[in-house]
Amino acid sequence: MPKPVLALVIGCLGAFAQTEGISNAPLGYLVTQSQELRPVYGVAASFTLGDPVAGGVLSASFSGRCLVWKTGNELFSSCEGEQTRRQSSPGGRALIAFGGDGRPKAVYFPEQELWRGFGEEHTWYKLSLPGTVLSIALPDQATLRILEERDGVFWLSDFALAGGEKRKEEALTLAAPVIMDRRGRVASFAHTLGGSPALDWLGEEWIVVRTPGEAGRAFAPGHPERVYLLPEGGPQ
Amino acid sequence: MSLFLWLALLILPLPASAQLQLFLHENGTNIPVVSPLNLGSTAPGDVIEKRFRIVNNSASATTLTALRLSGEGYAMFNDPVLPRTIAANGFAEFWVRFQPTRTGVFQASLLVNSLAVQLVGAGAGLPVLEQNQGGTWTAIATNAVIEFGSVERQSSINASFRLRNATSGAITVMPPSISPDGGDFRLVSPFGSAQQVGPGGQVTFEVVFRSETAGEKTAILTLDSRPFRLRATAREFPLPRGILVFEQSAPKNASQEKVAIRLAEAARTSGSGTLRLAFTPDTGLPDDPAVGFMPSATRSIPFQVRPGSDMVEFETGSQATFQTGTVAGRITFTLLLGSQNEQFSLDFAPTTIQLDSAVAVLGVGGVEVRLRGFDNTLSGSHITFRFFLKNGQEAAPGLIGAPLDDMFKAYYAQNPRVGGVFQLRASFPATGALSELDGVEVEITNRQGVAKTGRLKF
Repeated sequence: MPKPVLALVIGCLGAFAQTEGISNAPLGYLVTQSQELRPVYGVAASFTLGDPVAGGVLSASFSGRCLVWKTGNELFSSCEGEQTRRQSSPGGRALIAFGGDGRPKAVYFPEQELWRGFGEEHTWYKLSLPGTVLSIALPDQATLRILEERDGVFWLSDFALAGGEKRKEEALTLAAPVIMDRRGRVASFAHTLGGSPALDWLGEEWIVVRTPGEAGRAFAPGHPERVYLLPEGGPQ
Repeated sequence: MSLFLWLALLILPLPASAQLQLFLHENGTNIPVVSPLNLGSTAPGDVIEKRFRIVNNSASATTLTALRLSGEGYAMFNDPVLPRTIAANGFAEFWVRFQPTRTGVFQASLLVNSLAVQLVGAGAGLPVLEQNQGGTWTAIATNAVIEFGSVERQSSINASFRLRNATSGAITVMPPSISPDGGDFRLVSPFGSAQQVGPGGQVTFEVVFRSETAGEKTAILTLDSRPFRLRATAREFPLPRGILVFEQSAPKNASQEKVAIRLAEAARTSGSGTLRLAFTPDTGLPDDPAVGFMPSATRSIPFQVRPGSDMVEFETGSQATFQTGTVAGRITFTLLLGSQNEQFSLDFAPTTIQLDSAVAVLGVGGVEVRLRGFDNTLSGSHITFRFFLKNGQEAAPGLIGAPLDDMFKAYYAQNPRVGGVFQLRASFPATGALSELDGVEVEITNRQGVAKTGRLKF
């Protein structure tokens, strides 16, 4: 019996040649305790750190396509196939929201409680929330979503990306720790570490667990029961 | 001649010849010899030993041709073979042993080339100190070192002594004492007061050594103002033997495993050790930097032994975590603890390609398949894709295959630090009803066989 025709134009070897093929793409990026930004390579339970790509780094975010990192008063962004861009910025850390295409769309500076679209041409907005902002995301093209913790309760607040007005605010019933993905979806991960350590994304596929004074650990969202130690150093 | 000049001559060392001068050599210092030389007094049978040095202070070599000692109770030893040339500013040495056989004064004549020196010593009415060494009583010379040997700390060594009257008359034997009092050396059942001992009689006592701390210990045993040096070594408790205990008996590649070190018994002392690992890849395969202890990413970590505990402590607690990496081979652990140097190996056999994640994504105008995993043989050779429609039928054109040999070889050659890890992205331009696509099944082959993803849903 003839197979149904779906005109899949296949040239497997040619397709490899045209795309990435086989590579050693990093799983994500870590800011080490010595403020070095280093790529994390490997597979589950077999991680290595690559050579530092930047120093004096206060925070970083990686979408799988674009890497954004923050030094004392500058913000850098590097997307695959493009030159690194630099913009001046307020001091302290930066939280980044990526669009569906993996490009940075908004930035929040916790120390100044300021946010804006990603780029110096955008307008600043003051964000006055009573709790601690944990992460920001874009649930859609026009909305900035903020995950915040107020006295142990997690809250979501939505703001218009253009104009900055608040559209929604709701308290979550999720137990700590809570993490929000790049689409603004939130979940609580009852990983095996216990307590309420901070969670953050390491690239697209791994969540980093950080407890003050301890080495970072990582787990995949689909397997919160398998928590692995991340390296703190390694050959350079 | 002035009085000053006379005094100066009196304290000058005796010249043994035109160029040679004679000294007593004590505690690293040359003391000029004047005749008569008093060697002191000791008990009959006891020994006084003196070291002499003949120095050539001239600018030319000279020869020692005569060196003789005569007199009851005296003996010379460690003396040079004659004739002996002594270089300019050089020296030669010899020893004199004085061992009186009775009480009274003993004299001897010492001749060094043309120099004659009278030696004087006395046998005093003192008891001889003797130590029981394996059943034999051996006389101990004044100032001699009495070696107790070595013992574990908090254990003891006993030494038996006697004070023997070797004179022909009764003598008073004074009780011995040890300094420092209350130290590691103690008198056992000491006699507390002076005793009269007749000829050939004796008084016995014991000294016990026991120390709380490790190290070389010394004390002075004093008998009738005669010092005897006591010396012993207290050894630290030995560290117990360590045994590697793995949480998993047969771990696989790409895993984080835990290892502990259990001690054969609870430690009685503190200590430290090192646990090392070395990775030996199978023939033709590269080293894998991912193999190492975590989180330090090193191949050697220290640990501590605590008194009372039968488990060692790593910086991360009672267990150390290590990564097994993604290359077939052998990890060899070396446990270094005290004198222990023991190895244990874990083998990681070649396997088919292991996939950590496999994702199929529908895009605009095509599909993309992303695989992340590792090949612990670095021998990936072929891949196939088979697309399926939602109605369960296979999509045209059916099986799509491609060789990977060259691509994998080039990748691993250009990335020698990745172990066996790889990420593969395959894009397939497609036209038609992409929404009808259900999923894709991928098979990827290395020399150990075929790995299958199962159905990856779009």
